[in-house]
Amino acid sequence: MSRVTVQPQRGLALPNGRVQPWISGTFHYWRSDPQLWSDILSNIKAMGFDMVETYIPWGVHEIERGRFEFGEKEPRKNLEKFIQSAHQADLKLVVRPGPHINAELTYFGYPPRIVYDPGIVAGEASGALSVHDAAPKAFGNLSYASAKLYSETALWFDALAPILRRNLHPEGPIVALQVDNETGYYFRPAAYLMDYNPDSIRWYRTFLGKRYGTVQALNDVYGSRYSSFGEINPPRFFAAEALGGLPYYLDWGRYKEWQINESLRIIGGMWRERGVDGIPFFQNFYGPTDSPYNANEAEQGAYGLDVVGLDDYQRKEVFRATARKAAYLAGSSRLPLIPEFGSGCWSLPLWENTMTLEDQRFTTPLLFMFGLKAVNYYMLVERDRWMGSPLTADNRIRHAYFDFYRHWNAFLRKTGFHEWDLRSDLLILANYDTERLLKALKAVEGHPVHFLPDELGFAESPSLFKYRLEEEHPRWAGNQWDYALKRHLPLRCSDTAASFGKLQGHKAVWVVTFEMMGNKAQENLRRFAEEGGTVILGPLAPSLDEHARPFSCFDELRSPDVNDTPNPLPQGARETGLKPFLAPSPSRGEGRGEGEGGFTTKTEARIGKGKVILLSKWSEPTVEKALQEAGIRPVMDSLPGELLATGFTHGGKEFFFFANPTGRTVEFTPGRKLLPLYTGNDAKQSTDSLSLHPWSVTVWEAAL
Amino acid sequence: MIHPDVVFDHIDINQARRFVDLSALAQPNPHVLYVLHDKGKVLKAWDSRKGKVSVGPTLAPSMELAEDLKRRHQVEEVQLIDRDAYYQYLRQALDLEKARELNGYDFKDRAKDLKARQGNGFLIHPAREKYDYYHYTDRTRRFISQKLKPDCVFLLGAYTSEEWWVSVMTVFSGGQMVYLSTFEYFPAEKLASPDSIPTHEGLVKAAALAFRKPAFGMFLPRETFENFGKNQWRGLGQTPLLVEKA
Repeated sequence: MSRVTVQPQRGLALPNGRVQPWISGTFHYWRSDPQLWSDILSNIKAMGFDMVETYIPWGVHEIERGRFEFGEKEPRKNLEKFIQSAHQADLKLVVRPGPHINAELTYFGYPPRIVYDPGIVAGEASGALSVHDAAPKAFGNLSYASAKLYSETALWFDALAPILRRNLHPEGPIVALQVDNETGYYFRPAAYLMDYNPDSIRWYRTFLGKRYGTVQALNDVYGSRYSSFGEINPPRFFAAEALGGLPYYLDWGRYKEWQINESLRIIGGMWRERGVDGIPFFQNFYGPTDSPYNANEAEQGAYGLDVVGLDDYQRKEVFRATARKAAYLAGSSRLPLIPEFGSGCWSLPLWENTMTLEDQRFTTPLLFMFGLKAVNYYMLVERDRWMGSPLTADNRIRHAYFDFYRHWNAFLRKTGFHEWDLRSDLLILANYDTERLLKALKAVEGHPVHFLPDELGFAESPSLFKYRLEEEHPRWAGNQWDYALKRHLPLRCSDTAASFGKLQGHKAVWVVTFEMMGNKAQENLRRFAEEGGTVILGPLAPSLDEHARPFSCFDELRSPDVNDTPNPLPQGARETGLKPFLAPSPSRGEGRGEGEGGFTTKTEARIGKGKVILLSKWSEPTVEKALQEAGIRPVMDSLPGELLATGFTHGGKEFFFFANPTGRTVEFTPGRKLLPLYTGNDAKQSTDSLSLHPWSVTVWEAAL
Repeated sequence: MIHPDVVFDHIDINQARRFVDLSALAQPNPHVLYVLHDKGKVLKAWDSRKGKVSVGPTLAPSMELAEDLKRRHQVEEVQLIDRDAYYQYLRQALDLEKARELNGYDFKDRAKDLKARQGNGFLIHPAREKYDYYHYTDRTRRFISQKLKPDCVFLLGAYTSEEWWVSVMTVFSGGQMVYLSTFEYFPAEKLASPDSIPTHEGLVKAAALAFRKPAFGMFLPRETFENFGKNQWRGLGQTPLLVEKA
């Protein structure tokens, strides 16, 4: 039965037909005096919130294995009373019942018996059990392939499900449920750190079976002679010396992506089996968008998730990454959501990136500026190990924070921002295949107990590719994003795991490409061009598929007058019948700087109704020409380069966000007459010119 | 040092931010040459400031070689890491039973101490006992163990004439920190005139009364505190100790 659903790009669709914008904040009931719950919820409401969110901690409610306390003895554990308090305050409730919650609790919300169980704890490539060397207490990182983890979690879910079931909207306030929390290797995305638990190795073999069907098919790709999937052991560091050796390592990365999504499918299924259903299920990856975190894949239906969001905690100076994350969600998710956006910061351990209200005043509207439509502020109410929220644990108001949220929420509500549409002619895709490859190419991984520089780990011996990817990929991707920001291009972002439907509606798709790109990603790009779009690639056109076998959807780009040699055929690869793509091939390490290597020629080819452009060398005039040809124009002409700008439309009107991410006032004369909608109380306006204060975000409506 | 169930609350985030920023200024950033090898076959050498460097195709790891590389590459530290030895170290360091048994800092200490006992396969030169990477933690622990009673309240306040610039109140029970806050813990009227001795005395008395433990306070002007913090890291082997300053 569906009570609440996701209204794409808007919010939550309630059974009464109303769309509820998802603007919520966190309050941990068990960490405040229950006598204060109602007054705290009233203050949350007074800030303009209609939704509140809470974790529900397994380790706090469990008193011994299989026995739970829900307020019978300790009032602060009376979950149902808290839920009803939220309902009485006319607040919708988002619940996050784990099993993992973190919540700055000593054992991340698990009962201690779970995190010291060697059968549940993940294994590392070294053969060690994976220990989180946290202050004030170290404990085991869990394997989400462990059968025992699920059987123990079932005890928790059995106890909790009746409470959740009877409080689902509309009978109760619960409108959404987060499946687990920041799932995926506990902030350790490196390929060869985790997870080598015996159950995980069984899952790995199952994954290979699903991927290849038969072991012979796998042997064809690997060039191997396995007689069963059970013989295959996972890699513990990269050691291939030819392209044909790559699939074995890349499949380990794919397995790790699948492990996350499969575990979420199982945990979500456990809730549905217990009748907790009919509301959106979502997940919050902790931040990165590269392997093993495959948000596009996770949200594509097979894993029972309605929305996959990304958490974010950053100072204002890291605005490029914050803007990128919001733009990524806008281009990837059916409801661009940040399930945890820093409202204050943890205090144990102190973090070098601790953000203050000054940061939040800039970064919060910046998220919406780049297309975010839903957010949960973590946290609205301080408590043990958390500082800098608008309300203290004893319900005192920090007025500067309180007023900021009230002001910003009033803007969102008054303008109906959730119905605005972000202008995005350009879609920038991160190259997920290259990013997965970079994770695979590690001869050794640094570790929290012994720092090693990331660069040390990249394997040196094989010269498999034309460029040093660990240097060139981030350089091109960084140039691309910096250029898009300073030219104020109307855009969204995603990655090459995106479905074709996410490409549609844009005039151009721009992706940094080297030799390898998956067949499906290449086919999507080609189809986009065939239907009239412009595809911008480079510095190399894809010439290999996801198995490192010769494959290109862009043969039209072949330049017959370039004297070149083909990529070596992968070792052991079967013949595909496809021609290798002959791209310009400087020797490894050459052609990195402008003017080197002889790659000044831009290649362009018609494909169907559209075209493909190859940027073989980074050159801003060349990039500008390519984008102009694709019909990509800034959201507004003649804006100062240091400003950030985006545009929205709604109801026949145009709206503009301007952000000044500098420490000095920026004055300029916009090409349109603008009316202020949100100025943070400090932007000055005259008839013709705008004066934007340092580190400010403002919103304007174009006068008709 | 810190109890697993320690409570951190009433923390002024602006003061915390200042403390974090000051700490960052004094963090060590030693110049290190890393050499990764597989039983003597060099896989990669990386200079933390210059990037990829060459040390030859093979090596026989030894303290003498590490010293020679330190001198030739003009670095402060050399790490010669055989991958198998590194994995062996990780297996020793990541002991789940030790994690259960020890507090978090003792677990970290154990992992750190093990690095010095790995022989030539996992060789860090100069040996790490000669200096502190985690110097703030280590020196703070030494200060607590040597200067404070196992059961007490300790207050540290850095002030200007206008405000408390950084403040910390920690409560110890049985030698372990069980509570930490900034001076936000106290009612506002007790925090007025941050640069006056009567205010300092009043805070110490209030803390002793609130927690029923002996209380001690260290109060100093912001500039003195900042200079102290900035000077905490002077390079390898030249770390002025908090205990000496105190």
